Amino acid sequence: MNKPNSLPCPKAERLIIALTCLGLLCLNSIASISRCAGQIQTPSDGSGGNSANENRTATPATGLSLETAVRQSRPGVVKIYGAGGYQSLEAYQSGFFISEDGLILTAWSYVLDPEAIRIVDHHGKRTQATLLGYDPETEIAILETKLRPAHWFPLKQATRSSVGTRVLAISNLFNVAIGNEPVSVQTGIISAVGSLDAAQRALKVSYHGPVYFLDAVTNNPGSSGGALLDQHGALLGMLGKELQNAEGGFWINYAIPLDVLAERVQRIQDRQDGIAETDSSDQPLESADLQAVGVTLIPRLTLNTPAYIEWVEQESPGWTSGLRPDDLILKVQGNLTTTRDQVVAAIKKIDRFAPLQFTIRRDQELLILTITP
Amino acid sequence: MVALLAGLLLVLLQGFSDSVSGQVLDLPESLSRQQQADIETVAKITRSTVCVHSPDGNGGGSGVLISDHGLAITNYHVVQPCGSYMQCTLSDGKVYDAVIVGIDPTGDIALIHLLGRMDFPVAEIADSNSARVGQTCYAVGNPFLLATNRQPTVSRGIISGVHRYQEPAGTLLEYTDCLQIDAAVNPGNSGGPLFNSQGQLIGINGRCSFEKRGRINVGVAYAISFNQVQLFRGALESGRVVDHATLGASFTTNSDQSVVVDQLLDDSDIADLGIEYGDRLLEFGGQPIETVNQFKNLLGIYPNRWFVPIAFEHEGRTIRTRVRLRSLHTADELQPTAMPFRLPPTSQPEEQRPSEAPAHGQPGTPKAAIPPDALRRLDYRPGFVNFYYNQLQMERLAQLRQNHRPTSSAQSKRWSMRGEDRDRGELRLELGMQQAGFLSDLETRIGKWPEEKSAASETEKRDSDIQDVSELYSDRHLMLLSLMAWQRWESNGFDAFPLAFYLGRYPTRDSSELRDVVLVGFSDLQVEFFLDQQGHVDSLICTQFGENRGCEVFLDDWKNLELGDFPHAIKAYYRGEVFLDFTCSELLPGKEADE
Repeated sequence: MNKPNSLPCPKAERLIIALTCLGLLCLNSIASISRCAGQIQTPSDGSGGNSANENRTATPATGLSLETAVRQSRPGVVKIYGAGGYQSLEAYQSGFFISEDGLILTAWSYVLDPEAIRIVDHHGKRTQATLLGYDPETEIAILETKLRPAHWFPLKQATRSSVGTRVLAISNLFNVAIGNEPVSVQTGIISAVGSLDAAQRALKVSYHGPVYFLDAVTNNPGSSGGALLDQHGALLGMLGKELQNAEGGFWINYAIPLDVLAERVQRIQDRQDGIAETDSSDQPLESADLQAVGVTLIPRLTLNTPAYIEWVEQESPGWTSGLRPDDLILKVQGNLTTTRDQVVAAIKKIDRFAPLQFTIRRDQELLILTITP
Repeated sequence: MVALLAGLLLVLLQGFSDSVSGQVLDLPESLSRQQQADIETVAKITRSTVCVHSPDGNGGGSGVLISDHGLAITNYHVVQPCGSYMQCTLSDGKVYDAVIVGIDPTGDIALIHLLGRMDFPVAEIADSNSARVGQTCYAVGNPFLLATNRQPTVSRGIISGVHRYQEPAGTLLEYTDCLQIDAAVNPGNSGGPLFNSQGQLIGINGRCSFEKRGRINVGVAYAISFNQVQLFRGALESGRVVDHATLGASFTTNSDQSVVVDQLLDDSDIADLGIEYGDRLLEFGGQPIETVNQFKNLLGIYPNRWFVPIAFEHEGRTIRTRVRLRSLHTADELQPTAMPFRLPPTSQPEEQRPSEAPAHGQPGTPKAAIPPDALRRLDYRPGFVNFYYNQLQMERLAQLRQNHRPTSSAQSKRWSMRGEDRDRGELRLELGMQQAGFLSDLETRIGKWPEEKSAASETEKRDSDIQDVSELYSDRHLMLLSLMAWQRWESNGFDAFPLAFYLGRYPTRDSSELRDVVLVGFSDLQVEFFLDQQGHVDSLICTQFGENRGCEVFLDDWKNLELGDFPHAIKAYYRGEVFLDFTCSELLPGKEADE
């Protein structure tokens, strides 16, 4: 649970804090432009990237316009409660309405594991939601409710925003908004547009597409699935999960852009089973074989036996690609496979001389490994 | 800052090249105007901000000035490690000595006094309930104790949430109805001011949500609303440990979403007001109540003894009244919080000079030498944080008494007031030093001043009219004792009582206007005096030790007579019922002595 602390500043801590800050400042200066520079630069620099979609003429006084934007758009954001609640696994996150008939977009996580997911809307109204579908790569999910939202964010006009755009982040971070209270609002700017790949293996994420990096500390417990808006209240993206750089230890504040969301949501909705998937190819003449690359799955016990690897022969192609016992195969050639049967079926569709690409989960990490036969 | 300079440089260079080609720099006018306004706002808000430093260099925090003679608000958890004396810096670059005045350990507020000036820059205060989510705000203070150059740090953000509740951390500390902001707040910012976009004070920054990221800003900080601070200010000026409150009733939400009484303490003020189980709570503190949480949140902003407007529905009727809150904690729970402000023993070994004192303030080690001007303002007594400031208030009130009772002609005399009572008709009210009574055809009561426990009861004269005073005093007797206490005070001031101290400024049963309140104790009784601005006793509440309810007496319609000012309307209540409603028509000269 959220345990806020008071803030005296004992001497012993000052040095550590100062060092940490120094680290953070360095990160900022490398990875992004600072807030000040962004504000001064953008209006005077007419050539700024995607300035066409941003009305950047003389950013008005910050107070009133933001207040209005918050008042209008905050009712579109909801609190989501589900599984979790031990140690650092919070049982809450955020989401927002994407349709007038009560569909909610949120982050795909363990919080959504129970069949009935609890939703608390802006006015404190409680309802239940069910998981309609999800995209395992971007880790977004759509929930279905019977609510008729007072405010919702259409997933249209999906253009990428530029660096320096002033943003509002609306979420139930730290579950501050307990009970009927409305969620929290933060402000900042898009300090960089890039990919989570930039940090290579230091970030344990399955999604490596484009993201907005934010200069505000928006990604906290409970904030994933929250709405990223521009200063007029229009949707720009969805706040990502908490993400810590495994090497540097610093935390990343990012959001998935609206254009990616729109495309993935469309894919989820197009699919019958609600799981986004890319097109599969026809069965080849000679299909690939797991045994041939030295990989043995656990025995098939039930229809839904998960695709855990039991054994990998040393020095086999599977071994050299990095596959290890206890890895869970989640995707084959980028297509989601939720059971052992699906993995076997998917491999049958692949030519035996084609490279085999597996997305596997090892502990908390998602890895993409390629076997070249 | 570097980026800002770089930006300006860019602008200047561009301006230079533009002017060569005969054009004016195309910086949007509204932007430069806004920046100029921001710079002015920041200049304004830094002036009243205080950077607090522990004299032994072991910690510190922030604060804000609220009076030109140096009273400043900070967090309790900032002054707690400092002790009773601290050093403060302002943006003028000067160092000021400061001493502790009062604390509210539950609400994490402390009042300190900066010495040496009568023209300190004071923060402009706004109604913190006017804050709206999305509005710009500024947090000013001393993060990471960076103010070694004596300049506070300013960070800007927005109001992220209002009316937030943050559960107790540790034993007492609890933030209720607070403001949530995303401006950077870090260790050392504690106690510092939160300003709105107009540079008006709306809160005191004190807490953050810290988790796995360590003790640094995570975009979620909480400020105590300044409206709450204002409620406590008068009580903090008494040099005491001030407590928060409970109502004596708890509520639950019904199936129809209404908030109804769930539990009720029999001896609580709210029970006397006629509320019963199942009655619906409509308003509290002037706010409509929709959830139990909202009520709890609001209750947390009040000091004990406060009279709060309340509205509830009882048997289909709406009852609007004012309820008195009772203490949340016991004295035993609160007293340890005042211990850090106890001065170290004066008999320190001579050879150990302050400069050689260990850097970490262990109990009993001498702190840095306290300057004489600060030292004379420190007076630790059990039950108080700094008794000096209590005495200061008592002296002020004694002066007020002199104003409306300039001679000592009324001393040691018996007052005899003749007039009408609403129920009893003609009535005489006799007030003596040892004995008092009201005499009418319908009812006559006489009450005696209680003997102090030590005194033998040899003067146990019995009059047939004297009510038998057993364990508990009757409502009539409590009223007579209140009036006798009042008469003693008018004659001899608070010196007439074995115990008398200042409580602070509080509203009364019938008015939200604040009154100075003094508590006097004698025998097993205590009387609270509510004094108006002229120093007249506006009302009195007399309670027996261990009781939560008392007799309330209201003195009204003050007229200037030869002997001084006298009230001409006296009303007494007990448990919400009026039992005396007296209008005085004549004040008879009293006899020289009692009986």
